[in-house]
Amino acid sequence: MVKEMPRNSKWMRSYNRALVLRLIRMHQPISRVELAQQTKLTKPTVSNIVGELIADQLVMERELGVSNGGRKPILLELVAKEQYVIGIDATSHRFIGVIADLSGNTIHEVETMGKFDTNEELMEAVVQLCQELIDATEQVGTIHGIGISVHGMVNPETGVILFAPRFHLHDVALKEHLEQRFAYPVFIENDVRALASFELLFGEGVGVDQFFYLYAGEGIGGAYVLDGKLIDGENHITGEVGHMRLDLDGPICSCGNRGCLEALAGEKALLRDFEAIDPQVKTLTDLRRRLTEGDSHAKAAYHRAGEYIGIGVLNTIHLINPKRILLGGPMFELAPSIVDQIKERVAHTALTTASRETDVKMVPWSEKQGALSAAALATNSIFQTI
Amino acid sequence: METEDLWVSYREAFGRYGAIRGFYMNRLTGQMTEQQPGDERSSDQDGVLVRPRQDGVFQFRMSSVQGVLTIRSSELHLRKNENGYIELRVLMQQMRSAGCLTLGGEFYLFVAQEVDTLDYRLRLIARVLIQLQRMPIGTEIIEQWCQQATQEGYQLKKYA
Repeated sequence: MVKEMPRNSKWMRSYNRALVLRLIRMHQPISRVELAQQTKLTKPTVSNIVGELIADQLVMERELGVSNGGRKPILLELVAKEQYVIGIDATSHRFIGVIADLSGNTIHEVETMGKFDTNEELMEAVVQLCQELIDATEQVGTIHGIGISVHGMVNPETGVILFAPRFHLHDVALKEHLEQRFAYPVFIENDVRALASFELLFGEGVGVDQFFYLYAGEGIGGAYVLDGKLIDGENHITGEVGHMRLDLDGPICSCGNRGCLEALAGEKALLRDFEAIDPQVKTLTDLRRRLTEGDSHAKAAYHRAGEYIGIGVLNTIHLINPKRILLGGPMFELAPSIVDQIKERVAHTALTTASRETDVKMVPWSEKQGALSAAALATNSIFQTI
Repeated sequence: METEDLWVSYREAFGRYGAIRGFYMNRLTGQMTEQQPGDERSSDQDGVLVRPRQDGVFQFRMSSVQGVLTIRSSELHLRKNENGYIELRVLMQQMRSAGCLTLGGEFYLFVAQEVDTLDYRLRLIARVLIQLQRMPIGTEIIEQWCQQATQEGYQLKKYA
């Protein structure tokens, strides 16, 4: 669990600073008066905080606003130029790295194949990519931090990858290693939780203090955001919706249980079942091609998966009752009709009238999203830092 | 305490919950089949019962050996001298490099005493791991891996 800082005056000042910065990002351009109204802070407090943010080159004053009779207010907005964060998607051996600005725009992008067998080799491969991205800025502007998105189980507090299944690596102290090598704060997070972090800052999670992000692709995962923060859980497995069991006698899952959502509706499971129908379909690429070509069996397989994911979403609503459910990942991109199935199920079968109106939305997903999400982890730290 | 029923023995060792799979190999033909609890096992068959896990931890229990051997998949390169299981680490390392090592599992090997050798156990474990991963890898390649693992293990022990 994330440690709570003692709520003293230092904490309060830091909290207010993060709050003001967040409001400027969400409502820019905005005046000091409006900030004071929204935060319920005094005008001098807001002015002090804004002064600090301007000095730190995070905020700048822009054109004059519309006057209500008095002096025209000066509007504030984020400094978009030359304020960078680095994001690296290290979920597979194919690393994707980006330099992004504080608004989530890509400034520079690099792709590389990481070759590693041990913890040290993995860390060194990430260091090399970080260095390449830092060099690409040509020492112009400020880098605020490095975010790394990895698959598997992560302790975001210590920045240790507890287990990365695809790499067969345990206990990789990546944050510590990178912070020894670079003078920037480093943030390590599980890939799905990083995607949720991106939505929280730049996407459909902006201004929504409670939502659940569900990822569906080869596997199925999720992330829970409460009070604008990612919830990690005591043992870092909050949101593992893919291992929600739906069938006592269902197919065996890689986790050693039967009938998990992922074993029923993840694309790997669809491929397993499809091979029995058509042995020529051996890879996910084959299966996805069949779907895009309009193969009726493939369409039926994805439709059935949609029914199961719908049940998973419904169970999630009953368990944590989020304001919004965000659906992201290649499955929804390939078969958007699944989103309609889920919406229909929620609208007709959730427990109460109000819960039937839970906002279910699809969010865009692409291969680059992982790196941008990793960058968002570093951006998030600027807006959330206490 | 081991019983006649492999599935009961397995559950006594690793607990009763979870999805256990049973792979039986005919030691005369080398043919491997998957069977369910209650299915008849012939005297020519040796069995491996396994429950997958997802944390990169492998546990092996052999019917003829006391205790449980635990190996983490991130530590396969460490050549610990564990009663002849250097070979098993080498084999698993080869499978990891080939991308066909599963994420973890609890294995119970039931092998008839007369054929219970390290070579035979290696072969059995390799074939079960391949079955779990559902990868189209031929028996010849598995045999090759096992031979290499035995040789490498021999060399490592010799110069340890």
